[in-house]
Amino acid sequence: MTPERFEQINQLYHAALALAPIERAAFLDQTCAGDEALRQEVASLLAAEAQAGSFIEATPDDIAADLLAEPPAATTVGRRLGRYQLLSLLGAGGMGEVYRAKDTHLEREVAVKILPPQLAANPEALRRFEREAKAVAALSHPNILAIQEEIARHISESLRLKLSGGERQRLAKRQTTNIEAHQLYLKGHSYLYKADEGGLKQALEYFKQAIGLDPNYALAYAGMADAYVYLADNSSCPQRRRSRWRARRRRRPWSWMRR
Amino acid sequence: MARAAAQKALELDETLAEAHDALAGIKFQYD
Repeated sequence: MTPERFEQINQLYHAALALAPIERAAFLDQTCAGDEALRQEVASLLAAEAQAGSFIEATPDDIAADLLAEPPAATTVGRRLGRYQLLSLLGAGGMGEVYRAKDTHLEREVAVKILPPQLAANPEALRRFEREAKAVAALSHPNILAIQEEIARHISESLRLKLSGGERQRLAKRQTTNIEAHQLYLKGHSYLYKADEGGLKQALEYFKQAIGLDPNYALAYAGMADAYVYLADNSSCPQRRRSRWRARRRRRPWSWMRR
Repeated sequence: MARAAAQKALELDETLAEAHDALAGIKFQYD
C-alpha cells in the first residue's frame, strides 16, 4: 500500500467515524464510488472499531466493579456454616459480607465475615483475610467483634472441590512474590495499550523495573516483548497497530488481572 | 529484543500463555 493510499483510507475512516453509524454506508457509497477495494478497506476498519469500541470503553475498574457487584453465592441468613449459625447480615462490601452469628459449640455470639466466591478462590485475598483475622484476634475487648477465619477456609475448601487439578494449579501459581514488582507490571500493562509511542516507552520502563526487582518474573518479560513489538509496529503504521492491539485485547481481555 | 524477551519468559515459565502469544505474534509478523 502506498503512503498516499494509506492517507486516503485514514481520512475516509475518520470522516466516516464522525458520522452516525446509519449514515456511514451512504457516505462510503458516495466517496468510494468506483473503487470497491477502498470501500472494503474503510468498511473493515469501521467494523473493527464497532466491535472493539464497547469493550475498550470499559476500564479495568469498571470490570472489577461489575465482578465484585455479583450477588454472593448462597450465603444467606439462617444458613449453618460448620458450628456457626448465621443470624443476620450486619454489612456487605466489595471485600465480603459480615454476619451476626451464633457459635453453637461455645453458645456465644460472634461476627462472621465471608469472602465473595471470586475472592475466596484467590490465594492472595485469602492470605490478606487471614492476616486481618489474626490482627483482630490479637485484640481483646467485649465490644470488638471476633472474626472467625476458619469460615473462609471452609468456603475455599468447598470451592476447591469443584476445580479440576489443572485449574487448581493455575490459580495457585504465583508469577511473583514481590508486590512492588507486581504493581510495576500492572502499571506497564496499563500503559501497554496506550496508542502512542510515549505510552509504550513508559510501559517498557515499568516492565524493566519489575524485572529489576524480580529477575524471574516471566509475565513482565512477556509484557516487555509486547511493548517492543508494538513500538516497532507503531513507527511503521500507527493505524494498523491500533487495529491489531484491539483484536489482541479481545483475545485476552483478562490478562491485566494476572499476577 | 522482543523475541529475546518472549523466549526468556518461556524459559522461566513454559506454560505462560502471554509469552506464547507474544512469540507467536513475533513469528507471524517477522519470520
